[in-house]
Amino acid sequence: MVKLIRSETRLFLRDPASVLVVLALPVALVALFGVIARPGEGDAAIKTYFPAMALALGLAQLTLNLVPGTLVGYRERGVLRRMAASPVGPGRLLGAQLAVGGVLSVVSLVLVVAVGTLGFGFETPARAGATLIVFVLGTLALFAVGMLVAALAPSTRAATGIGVGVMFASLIFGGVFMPAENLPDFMVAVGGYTPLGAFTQALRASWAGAWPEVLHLGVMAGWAALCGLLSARLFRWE
Amino acid sequence: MPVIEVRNLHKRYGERIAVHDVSFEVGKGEIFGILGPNGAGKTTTVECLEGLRRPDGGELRVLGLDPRTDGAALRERVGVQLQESHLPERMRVGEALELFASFYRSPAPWRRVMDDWGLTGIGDSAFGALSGGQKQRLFIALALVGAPEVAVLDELTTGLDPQSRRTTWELVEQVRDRGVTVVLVTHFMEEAERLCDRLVLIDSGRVVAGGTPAELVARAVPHHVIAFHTAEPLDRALLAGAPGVVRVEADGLRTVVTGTGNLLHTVMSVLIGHGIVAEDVRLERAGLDEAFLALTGAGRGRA
Repeated sequence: MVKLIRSETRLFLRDPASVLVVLALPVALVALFGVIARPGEGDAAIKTYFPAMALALGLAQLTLNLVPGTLVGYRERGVLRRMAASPVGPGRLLGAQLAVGGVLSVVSLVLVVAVGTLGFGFETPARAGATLIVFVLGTLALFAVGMLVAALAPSTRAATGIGVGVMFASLIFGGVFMPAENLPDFMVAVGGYTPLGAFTQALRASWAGAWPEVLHLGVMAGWAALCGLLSARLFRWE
Repeated sequence: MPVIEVRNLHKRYGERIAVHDVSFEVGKGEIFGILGPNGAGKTTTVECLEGLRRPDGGELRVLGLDPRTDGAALRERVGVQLQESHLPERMRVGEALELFASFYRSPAPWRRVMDDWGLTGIGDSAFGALSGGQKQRLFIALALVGAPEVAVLDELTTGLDPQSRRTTWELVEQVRDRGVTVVLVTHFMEEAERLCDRLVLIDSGRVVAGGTPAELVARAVPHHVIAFHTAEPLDRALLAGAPGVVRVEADGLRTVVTGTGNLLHTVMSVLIGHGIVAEDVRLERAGLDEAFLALTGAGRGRA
């Protein structure tokens, strides 16, 4: 399993586009807006919006676009079948993918916080414990949605199409493209029930020092459980 | 005890019956061939053996294990090369071998396997950059990297050029010489004739014939043809009555004899008895190709 995780990590790192989108983009966003928005002097909204936005964007790309695309590609091209004929079985490959995704998410969180605070005057999350809980829950929820996409998509093309569609809808409603403060009320309300929206709003709350709303935590847990179960039931190996 | 026992295997996909009724046994250390036209049910049969598919009927035993219930134990001991499979594009040859070796409790040394199959030179090449033949060799190497007791090779040499095909055959023989039982799925007659100790011929989900390649040929196409030249035109009557001779055709100095049994011996005895010297003797034996067509119905094509 360790070798499998290492191998999947290596494959991820060899794909420049993935590395760029998942690891470099969030850091670049924080750096860019750190220069433009001057969080050191700005209000609370700016301090929490940009890091949360950067993390959400990277995580959404990873979970809704890259992971489903990779898995459906593996299924379509017989990689999962080949694994099924070995003692390891295709389930471990999925597990390795998720493990790598989880590690990448954490790396991205650490990078964004480190670069944002040390280099550009963003603050560290005020309630680190809450931030961590939100982050883990949100990652699980998004991964579960991505897995459901992978379970349902008949081909790699379809997976990318569905994944990107879901991702953009989430980014708009979730207050990632624009801070929730600038969105119409109904969009914020709807967004709060989407995994990415709940994640972004809860992340910002914890960053600012508040406990995230129970609703948002519940929404994330709900999506994680629902999509996780559905994808486990519906996933096809070939 | 046979290494593989298949009795009355039956498998359907919904309405379509892929395998009607297939039975055979494979002994230890054999190269056993499963032959048949495309869509005959060959791949489904071996996939049931590998535990990749659940049969709908029949008895299966591989190394004494039931693929239906002991799949995990079986996969440690059976190496598989699938007809169609891929690796991630960016995975390198050496990495793939090392990774797959790590899946097994007691694998073969992967560097040696890489060397055996002539992959060391391309160990750092990405899977996506390999030629068809290189990919094929890699998949065979992956089938053997777990040091299996049984290796199932499905369409071993499809997509290989004649040179690599011959090299591959030699390697398969070496694999067998190390005591590995080999199950070979193929529609390539030359390959089966060259490699297989015994084989079954499957058509439309049923076994239509089984035995050694020579037995199969003898049963399906019993006639041999002998052609030769003589210094003077030959009297056909000399050979027409000889045992086993079916037909004698003469065309000037050239004579063509068709018959069964030990035809060469018969013809030569007659000629020598009459003091006739035959030159440019050619024995045309039917091959598995002809047997295949005769047994599965001609005109179906062999793709």
